[in-house]
Amino acid sequence: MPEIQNLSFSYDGTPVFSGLCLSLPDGSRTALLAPSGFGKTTLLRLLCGSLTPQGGSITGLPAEGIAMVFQEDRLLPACTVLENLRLVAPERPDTELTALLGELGLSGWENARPGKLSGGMRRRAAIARALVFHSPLVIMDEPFKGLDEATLAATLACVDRWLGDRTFLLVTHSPQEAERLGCRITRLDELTRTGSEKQN
Amino acid sequence: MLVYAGMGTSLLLPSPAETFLRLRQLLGDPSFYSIIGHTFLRIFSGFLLGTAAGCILGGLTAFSPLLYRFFALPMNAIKSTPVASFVILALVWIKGENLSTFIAFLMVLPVIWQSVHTGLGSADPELLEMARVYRFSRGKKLRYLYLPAALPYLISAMRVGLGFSWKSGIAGEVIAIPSQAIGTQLYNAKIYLDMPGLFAWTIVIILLSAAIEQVVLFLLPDPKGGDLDA
Repeated sequence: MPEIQNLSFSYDGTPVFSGLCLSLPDGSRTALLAPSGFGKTTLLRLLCGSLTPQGGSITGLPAEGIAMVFQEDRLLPACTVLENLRLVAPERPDTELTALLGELGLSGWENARPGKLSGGMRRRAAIARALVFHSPLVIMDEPFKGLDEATLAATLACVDRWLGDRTFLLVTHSPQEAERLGCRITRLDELTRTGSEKQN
Repeated sequence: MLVYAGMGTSLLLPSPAETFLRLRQLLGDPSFYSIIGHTFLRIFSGFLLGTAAGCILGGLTAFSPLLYRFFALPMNAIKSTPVASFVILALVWIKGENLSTFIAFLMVLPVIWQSVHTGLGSADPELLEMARVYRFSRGKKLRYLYLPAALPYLISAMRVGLGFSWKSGIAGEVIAIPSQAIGTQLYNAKIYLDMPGLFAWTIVIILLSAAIEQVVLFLLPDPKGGDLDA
C-alpha cells in the first residue's frame, strides 16, 4: 500500500509541503483536488521518484513501476500510437490494444504518429498507455482536460472498466470526474495546511 | 571563359575544352579507376573509423561529465590545429600510404564526437522521466529516446565530416605523395605544369565528394522514422 508519511519538500527554501501524510490503500481510488500552485505535480513527481523527499518518506510503491498519465502526453513522437502502447505492454496482444484504442475513440488511428493526432486524441492515447501497463498503481494528472462531454463520458467508462481493482490516484480540478470514477476526494490544499488527510 | 580569353594561355588557366578533353583521357585510362579506388578506400576507411570512434567517445562523454572534461581539451585542440600541421607531424610516424586514412580519421573524429555528445544530451527530459516511470530497459531508452535525439546531429555531422575528411585526406596525399592516389596526381600535374590535368582531377574530386555524400545519406535511416517489431 503506497503511503506518504510526514512528507516535506521545498523549492529554493520555499516550502511546498510540510508534514504531508496520505495513504492509498490497495485497490482504493483517490482523487486529489487543489487549486493550481498547491504542489499537485510536485507530489506526483515525488511519487514517481523524479524528486527526492527532503523530509518524511514514501513507501509501498510497486517495484514494477507506475502506470502514469503525466500532465503532458509524453508519447514517443517517432512511434505510432499502437507502438507507444506495445512498448509498455509487450505481453498484450495487438487485438487487445486495438480494442482499447477503439473504446477510447481512436479506431483507425492506431498506426498514426502522435504528431498527426489532435490534443484530445493524444490525451486518450496517453490514458490508454497507462491502462495497458501492468502496474498495481495507476496515477493520472488531469487526464481528462479538454475532452468534450460525450468523449469524456466514454473515456471515464473505459478508464473505470480497465482500472479494475488497481490502486488509483487522480489529480483533477473536477469533483464530478472524481465522483464518476468512484474516487474518495482529498483536498491537497488542506493536507498541506494541516499535514493530515481530510476526506469527503 | 572571360578570364581564359583574357589570359590566352593554357599554362596558367586551361580552357574548359582542354579540361574536358583531359578528363576524357583520364576516364579512358584504366589506372584512373585504380587511383580513385585506392584514394577512396584510404579516406573512407579513415572516415568510418573516425565516425565509429566519435560515436563511442560521444556516447561515453554524454553520460560522464568527468570523461567529457578529459576529452574536451584534446578534441578542441584537434579541431583548431591546421590540417597541414597534422600531415607533416604524422609523416614522421606514419607511412605515406596510410597517412590520408589517419588524417581523415583525425578530421572527422572531433566533429562526430561533438555532435553525438550534444545529440544524446538533447534527449527530451520529459520523455526520459516517462521512460523511467514505465521502467524502460536501457536498450529501449537507447533505441527510442537517445538514438532519435542524436541521429539528426549525427547525420549533419557526417555530411560535414565526409566532405572535410575527403578534402583533408587528399591534401594529405598531396604532401605524402603515396602511390596510386588522387593527391599524388594533383601534385604531379602541378610539378609538370599540366594545368588541364590539375583541373580535370579537381573536377573528379568534386564529383566524387558529391556522389559519396549522396550515397551515405541514402544509406542512413530517416531520423524522423522508426518502426517497432516487438
